[in-house]
Amino acid sequence: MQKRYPFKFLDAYTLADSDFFFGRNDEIDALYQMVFQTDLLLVYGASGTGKTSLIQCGLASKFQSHDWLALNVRRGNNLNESLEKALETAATSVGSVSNAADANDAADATNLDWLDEDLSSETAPTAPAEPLSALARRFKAIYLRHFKPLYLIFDQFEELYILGNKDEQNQFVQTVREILRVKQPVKIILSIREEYLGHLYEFERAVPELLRKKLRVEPMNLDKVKTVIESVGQHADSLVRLRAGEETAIAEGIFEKIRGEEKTLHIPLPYLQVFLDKLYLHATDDKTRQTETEFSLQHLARIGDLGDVLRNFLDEQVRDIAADLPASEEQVWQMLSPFVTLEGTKEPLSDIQLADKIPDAAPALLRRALQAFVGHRILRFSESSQLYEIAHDSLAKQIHAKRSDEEIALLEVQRLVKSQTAMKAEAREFFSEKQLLFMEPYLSKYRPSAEEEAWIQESRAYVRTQKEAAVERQRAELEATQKRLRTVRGLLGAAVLAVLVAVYFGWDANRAKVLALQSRQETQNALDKVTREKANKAMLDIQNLRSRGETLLKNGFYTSALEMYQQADAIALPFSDLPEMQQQHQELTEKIAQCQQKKSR
Amino acid sequence: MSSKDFFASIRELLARNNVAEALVQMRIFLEKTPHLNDILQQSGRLENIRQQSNLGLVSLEEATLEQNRIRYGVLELLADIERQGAPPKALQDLLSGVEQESARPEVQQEVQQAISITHSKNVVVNSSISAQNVHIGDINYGPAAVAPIQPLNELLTRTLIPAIQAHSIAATRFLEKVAALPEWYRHTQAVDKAREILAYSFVGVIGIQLSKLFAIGKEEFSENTRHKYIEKCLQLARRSLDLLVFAFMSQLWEEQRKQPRSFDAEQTRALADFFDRAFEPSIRVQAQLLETLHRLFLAHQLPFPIPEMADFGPHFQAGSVFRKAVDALQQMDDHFGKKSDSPEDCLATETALTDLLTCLHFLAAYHMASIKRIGYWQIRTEQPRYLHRFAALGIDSKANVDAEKIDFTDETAYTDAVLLYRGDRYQAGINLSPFVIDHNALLFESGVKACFYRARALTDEQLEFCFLEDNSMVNVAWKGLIRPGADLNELLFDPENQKIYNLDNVIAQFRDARKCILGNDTLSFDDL
Repeated sequence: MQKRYPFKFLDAYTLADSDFFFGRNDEIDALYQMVFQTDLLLVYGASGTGKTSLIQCGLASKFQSHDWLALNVRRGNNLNESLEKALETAATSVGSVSNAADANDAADATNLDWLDEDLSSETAPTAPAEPLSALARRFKAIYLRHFKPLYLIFDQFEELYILGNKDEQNQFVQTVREILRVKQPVKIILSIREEYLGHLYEFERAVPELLRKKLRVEPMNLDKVKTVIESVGQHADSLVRLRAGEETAIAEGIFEKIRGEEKTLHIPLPYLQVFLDKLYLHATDDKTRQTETEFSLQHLARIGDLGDVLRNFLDEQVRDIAADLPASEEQVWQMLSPFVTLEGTKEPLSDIQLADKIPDAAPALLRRALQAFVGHRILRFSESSQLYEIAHDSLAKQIHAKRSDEEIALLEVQRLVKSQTAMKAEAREFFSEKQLLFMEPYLSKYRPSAEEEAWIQESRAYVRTQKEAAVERQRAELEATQKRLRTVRGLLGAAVLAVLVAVYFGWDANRAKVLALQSRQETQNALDKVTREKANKAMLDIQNLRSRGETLLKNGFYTSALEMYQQADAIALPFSDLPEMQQQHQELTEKIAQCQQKKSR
Repeated sequence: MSSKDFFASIRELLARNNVAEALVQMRIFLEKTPHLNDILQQSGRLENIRQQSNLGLVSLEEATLEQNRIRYGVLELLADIERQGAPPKALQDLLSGVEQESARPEVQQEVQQAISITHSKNVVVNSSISAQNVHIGDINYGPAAVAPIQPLNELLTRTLIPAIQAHSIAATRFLEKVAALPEWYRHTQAVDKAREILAYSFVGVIGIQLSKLFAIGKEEFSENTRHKYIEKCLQLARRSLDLLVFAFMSQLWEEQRKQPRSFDAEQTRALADFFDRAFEPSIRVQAQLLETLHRLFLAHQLPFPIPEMADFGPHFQAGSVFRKAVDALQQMDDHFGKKSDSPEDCLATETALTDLLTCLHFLAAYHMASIKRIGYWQIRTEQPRYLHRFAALGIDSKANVDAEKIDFTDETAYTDAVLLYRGDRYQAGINLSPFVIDHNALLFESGVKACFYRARALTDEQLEFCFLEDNSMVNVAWKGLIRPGADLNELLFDPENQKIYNLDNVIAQFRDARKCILGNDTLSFDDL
């Protein structure tokens, strides 16, 4: 058998490469078991871990051809449309002997409309059966054409969330729900980069079984790399051998070369593939890749340090392409840039879409460039979708890293503009002033379409109107404020005057109060004086009367004494406030009592 | 025919997707012209892509795309020839010759042959070679044609559909519908519908195998296809006989538990061979065991697990259709893999399988289910009830846990049972465990992984089972989790131990079945 080149560079392994697919036996077995445990399986992992190869080669190789009918569906421009197209193709595909017979069937005039009926229904034959949905009919047609279980493989599933909108995502989720209920044997495998798992939250809510069975594809560690390299070297049909006795050392050496200064336990698979290809070319200098060769430690040593394998590879290819076209390297990078999103992921484009994005580039140059990119394995072309895309996510990252700040800003402007113009007119929002200011320096380079330009103009007009309205509002506010100030000043003056008046009256009132108090005091003093004089006089009288009373009492004239004392007490009583008078009253009361007592005897 | 008509007819063939036939006619037409190479190249491309598609090396999308390119290439060639102007008289004569040639049976056969040729390096045009062997590309062709004698599965389909009428409403209605369609089995859409009915009607695991057989029959008739077809026919025969034997053994086990009986030496030997065999038995041996069990049940007046088998006695007689089918299948099995497989081999195998399944037509009345989980409810005021979760085994079986069926009932069911039943009442079915197990159920996984008992391992305490999906071996090994004095609660707290417990129970059940049926316990792993 003819020997084959064992390395796939950045292409995924397919079933045809199954005899060269090593290092993933555990994952293949696990995936195979899961296929019989669920109808919806999720395969995830970091970019470049080999998810696509695991499914298309590893898993596929576990099945015989009559047990495996795989439809690989990429998003293209719309995942739902791509799925519909794939199902339609499967329902009318080549590979079956019934093709010629179908032509005979078509010529037959017999009515076969009953073929879609469910003949097993227990209800009466004349009762109309519940019609199958379009999707269910499609699966039935595929099953009848092939009699095989159908595997719908959605590769690069993250594209639905990077490039698709909500409507597309929701429609796809509903389709999956329906697929899981059809009677025919259908299984769904989703392959997604693990950094996009969070986007599946709404999907899981609608389809709870989404995350029940999943497999993480781990990056390549040293053991797996050893398995890959040693197995490739031992394969009878491989163009590449490893020098006897050096197999393990070569594998470890390759691992260390790729790992470089970083002390990680894994290496990216794309780096390994690109490096092995580079090592082969270094050893053979045969770009047709048909020469047998033997890798040795010496080869490895001569290849030197590699730095970033992919970056170097890309730089080399761009240099070569620039020389071939001819064009400057900068131009070549500019032609590659549209194939990468702002986030550094792949964005498939057609040649027409590319030309729209780089209107300055000559069509002939673009055509030659596209061919060169495909020839140099930077881009891949899909016949079915007629789209070009970057050969691998890892390359997309490298291209993104090459972008200047200006280019990134330009892409941001582009996304900003398209995010609004992609929506229906009634749902759009005008750009803010800040956004317009940000866009302004780049609009000449960006060259918006007529619709986009119109929306930008409308936004400017809107902003201008808003600003004028704001100015008008400010002016009105200012006037109102001034008016209020005047009023306040007036009120303030009046208040001050009122205060002054109040203060005067207050002072005057206080003075009058003081005078009144003085007068009152004087009056009181005068009264007190008079009272004192009266009290003194009364005291004299009292004393006289007491004296007489004492005399009368001594002489036994009690009644008269009593009268004296009572008179004296009556004089003292009005002056009972005075302490001396209180005392007199007390004494007189005693005397009176004495007199009465003696009188009663 | 004028050149204009000829080109129109070629375009018509291309429009109807008859690319192969268009290429054959173009080859004849262009034999003496410089354009022959173009057509030879296109023919080679078409055969190449068909081969790769059949082997699954390219996707359907890629294969269709390539065919479209070939079609476009032929159309371009036609346009070129037309642009070159009216053909000379010699060419007109050639066109007439083409018309006559096309009608000849030999040319028709060559059209078929053109479709069948794989990896041809030189297409032989108007060949008059008569030799024992013709080497084309990598393939040697004998004097016999490499086209099938009749389309694969045609005999099987048209015979089985009427055979299962009594058990399948769909089959009955189908035959009513096609009554007005003569030779309906040659009509692609109708025959595919019939095959769908067969795949969905026959009991679970057999239906799935039939579907695989139909899938193989749809592939290009290559050496590989013939090999796979015969292999699948033999597997189908084995599984059908296995299913019946397991049903009998399960029933016998139940009967022996109620009332032990003794069997004669021949019967005992046959039963012991079943339990102690180190290799999968041959088709003939399995059929003989079935006959032994049948006689045993009659002799002891035991209730048949499958009532239809009660009257199966005449089928075991020498010269019966059943016996002949078994013999033919055994003969095919004996030679399988030792020589290349001819179209005659395919037809002979298909015929034998058809006869076998026709005798076992009643299998279309049965269903299979796997009990996945049983929940238990009992509240104070009510009787206990059970929530059975079970998965149907069949072509329409879905693997998601949400697709499992439930039955909230007061009837019990055996856990991890694989049931063979008729109608809707799976509770009344025969439990085929441990001879048929759902490996996924034992490991608490959703989806069904149906495995048939194959043999007992010679070393270690293991049973070998055959996973029906790919005929791979699944070993169930005794771990002896539950030992005297072990704390069951603590052990079974760990879900992994629960799985081991389930698998140990398979071995334990097998041992018990052997003990009950044979009346002794001389199994080599006697520390169970």
